[in-house]
Amino acid sequence: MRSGNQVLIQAKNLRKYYELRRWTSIRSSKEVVKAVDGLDFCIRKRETLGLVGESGCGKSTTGRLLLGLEEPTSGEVLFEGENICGHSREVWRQLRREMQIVFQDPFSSLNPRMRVGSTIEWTLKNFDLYSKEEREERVGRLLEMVGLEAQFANRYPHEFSGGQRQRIGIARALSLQPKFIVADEPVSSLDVSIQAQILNLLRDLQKELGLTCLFITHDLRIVKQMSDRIAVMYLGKIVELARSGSLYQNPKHPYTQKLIEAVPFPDPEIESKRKRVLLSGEVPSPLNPPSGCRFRTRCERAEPICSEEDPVLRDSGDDHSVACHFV
Amino acid sequence: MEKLLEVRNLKTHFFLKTGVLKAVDGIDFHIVEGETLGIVGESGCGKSTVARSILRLIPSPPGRIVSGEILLQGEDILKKGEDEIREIRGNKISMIFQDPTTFLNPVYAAGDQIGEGIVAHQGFVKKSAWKRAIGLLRDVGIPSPSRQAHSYPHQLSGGMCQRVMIAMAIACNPSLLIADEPTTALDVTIEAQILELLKEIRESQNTSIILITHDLGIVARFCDRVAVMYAGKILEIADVFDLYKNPHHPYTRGLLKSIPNPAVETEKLESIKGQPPDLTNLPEDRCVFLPRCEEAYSPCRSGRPELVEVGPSHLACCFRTKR
Repeated sequence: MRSGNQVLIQAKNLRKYYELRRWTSIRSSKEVVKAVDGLDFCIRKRETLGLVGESGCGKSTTGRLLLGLEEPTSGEVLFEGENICGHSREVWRQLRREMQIVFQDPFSSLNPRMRVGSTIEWTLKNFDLYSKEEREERVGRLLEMVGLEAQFANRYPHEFSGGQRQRIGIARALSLQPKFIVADEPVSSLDVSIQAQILNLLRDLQKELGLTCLFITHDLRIVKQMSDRIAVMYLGKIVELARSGSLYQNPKHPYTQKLIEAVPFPDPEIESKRKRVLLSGEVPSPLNPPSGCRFRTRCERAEPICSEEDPVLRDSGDDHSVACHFV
Repeated sequence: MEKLLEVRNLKTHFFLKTGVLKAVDGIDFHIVEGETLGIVGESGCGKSTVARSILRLIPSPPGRIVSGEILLQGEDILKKGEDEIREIRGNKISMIFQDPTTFLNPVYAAGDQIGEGIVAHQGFVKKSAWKRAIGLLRDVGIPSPSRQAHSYPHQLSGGMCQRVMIAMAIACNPSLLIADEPTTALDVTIEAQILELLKEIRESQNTSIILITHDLGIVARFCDRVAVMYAGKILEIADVFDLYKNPHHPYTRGLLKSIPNPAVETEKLESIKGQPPDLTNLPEDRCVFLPRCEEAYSPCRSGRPELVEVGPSHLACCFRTKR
């Protein structure tokens, strides 16, 4: 599946804080949301890294940081070994030929007043690539590659269903032949039967074109299917990172265990036998996260050390890293 | 066991400028006391319209229940007057909606909203209704309920709002609870909590539940029987174990194959080709699933199959299935 272990993109102690101003009647106070708080991970060439977590855990922010759509508060993103944070706009513009994104909502991510052919062609025009005829031919081929017909280029987005629009979004992302793609919840607005079509398409294209992917999702059933390795996030931090098989068979972090226990399996035989100890409570506010280990307020194993010391993500062998004091 | 609710040949159509949208087009099912029936299907298949038809919440115009009977303990809901139906809503049958943050009233405190139904249906005065509301909030697992009863919806998280909605729904001990995608807007861990809460309610009050969802995983966890809907019709209805082990309809099989099952190693998902149909101009003379069906043959093009028995309490709507 993977050729060597070369790293394509790497995050080093990546942080993104947002400042919020709260106004009371007489004064304003500043609060800080730590959306992403110290991430260290890498994505190897031709690999898909799945990023899962509940809403508000910072998974989308992570994707946007890697693509330079957000400026990190601190830390580095290395793309092919080079730090790409703090580059000028022009350098970034050129870099984005190498890295593209597939958005969640296929309804708002396509311009309703542009024919889909022109939407895709724009990316090529933007970099002055090819002649007009060549561009049109390429657009046709891209549409065919994602399972649509070349003449659909003349239609407007409203003439397509959600699944078809998502295919167009994928065609647009692939038009510049990027090396790296971030897919941010690409199927969560689609129906189950269409979801499977799009997931298969993404997987096939990824293999065929040798793409490196960051696959962001909240759905633990999908992420196993799509990823080589999976990172589990909780309140801005990665709590566990492992190969997808071993994450499911042998989840080590208490949060990952609870998360997998909570997922309903589409099989009543399994469901009736599964024992579930549910995770109590809710995710604390990222405005005021717990000290030490952020999961300790909901963790059964929590002990005094958890509130004092923040566990670091440690490799416990076999490509499996966990951030917990008790592993 | 006695049938609590029976729906016979229900048709709910929407009369739009572009044509007649047959959201529900002739469906039959029943639910017995203490049972949980799942209705699954993709968006636009008419599953929510079924729920709203039962409570007569169809916006009219453009919608209208064209024909059929909905029998609650033998009495036809569709023949009742507006006053009588108000006696049923929230009292005998209540509903939990998908998005709790939009269905709760933002300008009333949680306790007031729960109390409203208790005052209306059970003749409580406001003060004792408030006390009962606090008790209900405790039952649905809200911490420090007497304080939270004063909270407004925007002060509560999505999961908490859904708990408030459930408290409202169970306030009058209804015999039937209709839950329309109750966990779709929530995270998995919260979803598991809410499903567990609904299970507790079902066991302690022997409430029947109709659970409407698109997620076959939730059905597997929660339901006794399941109806698969497509294009306004029930294509298959069976016991949960039977349906997953032995699906008769090609659509059910396709749906089951297109969800990744983490317990099984699969290299590739199987998907159903094509897209759900447009319900405004479905051809009457052929099977609704025909354009997407891998197993279609000549009878499918010349008539619509009926829902027939294919096994013990297992019905399917396909020409291919034999008894």
